[in-house]
Amino acid sequence: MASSQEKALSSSLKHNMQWVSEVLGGSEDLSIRQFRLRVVTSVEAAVLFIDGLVNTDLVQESIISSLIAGPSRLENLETGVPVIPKLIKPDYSKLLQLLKEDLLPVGAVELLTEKTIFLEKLMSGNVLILLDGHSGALAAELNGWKERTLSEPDSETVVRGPREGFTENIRTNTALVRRRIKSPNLRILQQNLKIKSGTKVSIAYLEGTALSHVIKEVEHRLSLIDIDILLESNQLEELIQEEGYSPFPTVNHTERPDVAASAIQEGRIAIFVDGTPIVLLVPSVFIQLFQSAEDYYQSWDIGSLIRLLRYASFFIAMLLPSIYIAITTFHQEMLPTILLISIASQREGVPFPAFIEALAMEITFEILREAGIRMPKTIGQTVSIVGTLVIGQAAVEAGIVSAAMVIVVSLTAISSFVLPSFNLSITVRMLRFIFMALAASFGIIGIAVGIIALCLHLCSLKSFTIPYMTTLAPYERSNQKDTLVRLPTWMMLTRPSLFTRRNPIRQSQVLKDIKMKPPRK
Amino acid sequence: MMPSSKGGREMPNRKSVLLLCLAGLLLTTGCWDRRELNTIGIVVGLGIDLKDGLFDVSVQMINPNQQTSTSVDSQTKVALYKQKSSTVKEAMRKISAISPRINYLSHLRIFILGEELAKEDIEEVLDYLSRDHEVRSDFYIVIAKGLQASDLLSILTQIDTIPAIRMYNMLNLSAKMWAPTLGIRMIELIKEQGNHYGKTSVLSGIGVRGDLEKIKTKLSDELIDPPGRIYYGGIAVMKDHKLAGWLSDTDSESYVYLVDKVKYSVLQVPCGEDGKAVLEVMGSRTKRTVSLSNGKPSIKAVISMKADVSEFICEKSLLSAEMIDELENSASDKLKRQLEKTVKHVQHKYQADIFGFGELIYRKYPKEWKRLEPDWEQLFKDLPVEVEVKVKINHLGTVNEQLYYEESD
Repeated sequence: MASSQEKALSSSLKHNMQWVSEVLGGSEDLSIRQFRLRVVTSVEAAVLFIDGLVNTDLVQESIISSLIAGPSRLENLETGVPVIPKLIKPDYSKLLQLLKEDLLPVGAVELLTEKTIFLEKLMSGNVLILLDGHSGALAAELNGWKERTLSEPDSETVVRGPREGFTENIRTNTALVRRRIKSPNLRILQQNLKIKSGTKVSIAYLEGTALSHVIKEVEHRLSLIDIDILLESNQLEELIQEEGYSPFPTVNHTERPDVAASAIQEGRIAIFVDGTPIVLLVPSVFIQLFQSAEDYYQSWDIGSLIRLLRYASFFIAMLLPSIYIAITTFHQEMLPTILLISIASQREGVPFPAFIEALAMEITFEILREAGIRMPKTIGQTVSIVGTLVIGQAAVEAGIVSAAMVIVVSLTAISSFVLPSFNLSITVRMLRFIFMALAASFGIIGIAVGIIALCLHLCSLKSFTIPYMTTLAPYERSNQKDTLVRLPTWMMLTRPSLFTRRNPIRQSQVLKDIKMKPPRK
Repeated sequence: MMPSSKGGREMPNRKSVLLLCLAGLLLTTGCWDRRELNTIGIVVGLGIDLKDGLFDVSVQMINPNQQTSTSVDSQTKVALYKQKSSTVKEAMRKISAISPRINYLSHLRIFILGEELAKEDIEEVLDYLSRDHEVRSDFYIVIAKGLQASDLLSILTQIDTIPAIRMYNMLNLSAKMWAPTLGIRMIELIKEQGNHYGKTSVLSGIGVRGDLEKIKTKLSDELIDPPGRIYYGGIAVMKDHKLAGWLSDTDSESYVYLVDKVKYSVLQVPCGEDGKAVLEVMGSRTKRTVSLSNGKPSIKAVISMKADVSEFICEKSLLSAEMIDELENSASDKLKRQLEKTVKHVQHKYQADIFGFGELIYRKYPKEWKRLEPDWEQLFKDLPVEVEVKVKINHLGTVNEQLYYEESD
């Protein structure tokens, strides 16, 4: 009895107010306005909200003016007789209904009785109205805080294509997706997670297209989460991935509503986290790390060529330093004579073995990159100049590193920036060092063994029940039209069957028939 | 699936132990065959002479300090190291006593045999070079004509300033553009050593025209026209691992036509009484067939050639079908006579089947070959060889008639 009393709000306004100020410990951003409600009868009441989380203009308009200033001059709504404050015991249920249905011009008003929900609503920007003598509270959703306007995402820029990016507000984000898929089948469902900071998490998918067992799996994994605070979707990503230790991302993320919409259309599930513009997309497979929104926004031929370039860059970024080490320390016979002589002449006088030289240069580069990101933008320029001078020129002129090594490291660095997925370029950066160690100890054989191990690892991964290497292993012929290359849009009659085989038709065959028809003689 | 709480805690332990063991293994490898680029001496030229009954091995090693455009010291681009010993391998190893870097033979471009050694026996040398795991088989083998291999390797050269690479490029180009030169790579020689159908090998010759001593000085490569130059010429006939003799330029040319190694060349043809025409050979194919009559083999070689007119100094008009036919016929006749003469010459002077006719017979009549093999040398001497040349002229060049042509009518 005592516990249920503690859980529920008291019917005394005084007790409730006391409890609130105790729980919040006198936080200064709590605003309380006590007043006398004069509708039907006269009741002591209070309005509570957190300053800064609610739209003050709306509070003024919808609460203060309609409850405090307004009703006293109003007629009795039922009888039409002017209200005269009388000290009669009010009928609370009628009064509350009246408030909820007629007097508060607010979108969502909810009646609640539990203390925890009361606090939750208060913290998420609701205006709460307490009445003396009743153990319930009305929560009016009037949240409104300062937020960033829609801007172009920095991490996924395109030359051609929409410029909108997600913001930190989950509602704005779901709306951006909804605007692109105006189908009633688009489900946006809020998930009740055990997150003490109360961060909202929603999933979005297309009913009838997304596989129900994948949806269940996502919901199940989300329900297992019990964490104190969730600030960025990466935390969620780590919590819901099946592989705890793999360097490869099995969850995609995006900052672009068009990418999220296209993923949902293909039967994937988007996970929105309030407070971050990064939206997670699951399931995700390896080849998608090489796809960029722009592949589809420019003509298919250049899109395909650029995609091939990315695959090449992936291997260059991962393997070039190790191949250089392997060839110059173990397999000198593999180079053409003139090239070998040229590299040998550059290595002349360099005091370190090739491996140490490469390691030093790669680490220097990583330091510079990290400094470039963390530095205030105005100093960034200085870092790049110092970096260029130190690495590029001084080190070579002093004979500490060879010019060929500088070329290798720069090419590697630039190649790693070509990858459209930042996740993947992080993976590549880490694997590069492992391959360098393998190359320094075993030469090309070490690299070959490393690649075999990498392939085995990649094939063992799964993302939400889907094999990570899908379309390559297991090989799926129907999906090759959008794997290594991208075929013209009019050829893609079906949606990729990576994630779902339900509802597979993308477009009718009419255009393809027209384009494939032999020219008239 | 999400790792269950228990399994999830055990897995990383086992994995990290495994990783730690693997990382430990990396330290134990010791990288036994690791060689940094600045510890190896890249050998591009190798020469072996015979001196006082010993192998005199000389290696031309790259001097990596002098290969960049910024190097200004007056050091040479290559260095030559010489050692003598009774075996090739020993001499090669002894070089470490005078050279700062270990010989690295994978980039050998040219291998020069001294003429004296070639006359004696080249078996040991070839065995060493084909057996060594480091040596590739794509370098050229040549015989120094009338001088020591070590002399050739100490000549400074222009344009391609690393002498061995220059010799390699020269031979590469000449073998392609000029019929009398033939480039024989190690791999081809090895194949021929394993050929048991009577074929003997040939090697190309390399020599120096001019003053050898003068062009060994640094000054010589600063002159536009140095006092001497390296040249390729003549084909060496090998018999029983020995140099049997040299073919003249004409015979060399015929030989290259007969073994179908001509890519491009030039052919001079008489025209009328004292005129001449020069044809540029744009491609030539030789088809050789064997026929057997009464147990006696005979060879027929058909050479089909495409050619363009390069020069035409003649009183007749070029612009007629008859003239083209006449040119084609006289070219065919001339080449046919030259080829037949060479075959006769080789048959009688050397009795060495450098053309590989024995193999042709074996391929077509393997059973007969067994009967013929024991006295193949004698048979080869009297083997009837018929040559047929078909010349086809395709283009006349950018002008029609010769510049000073006057029409007779």
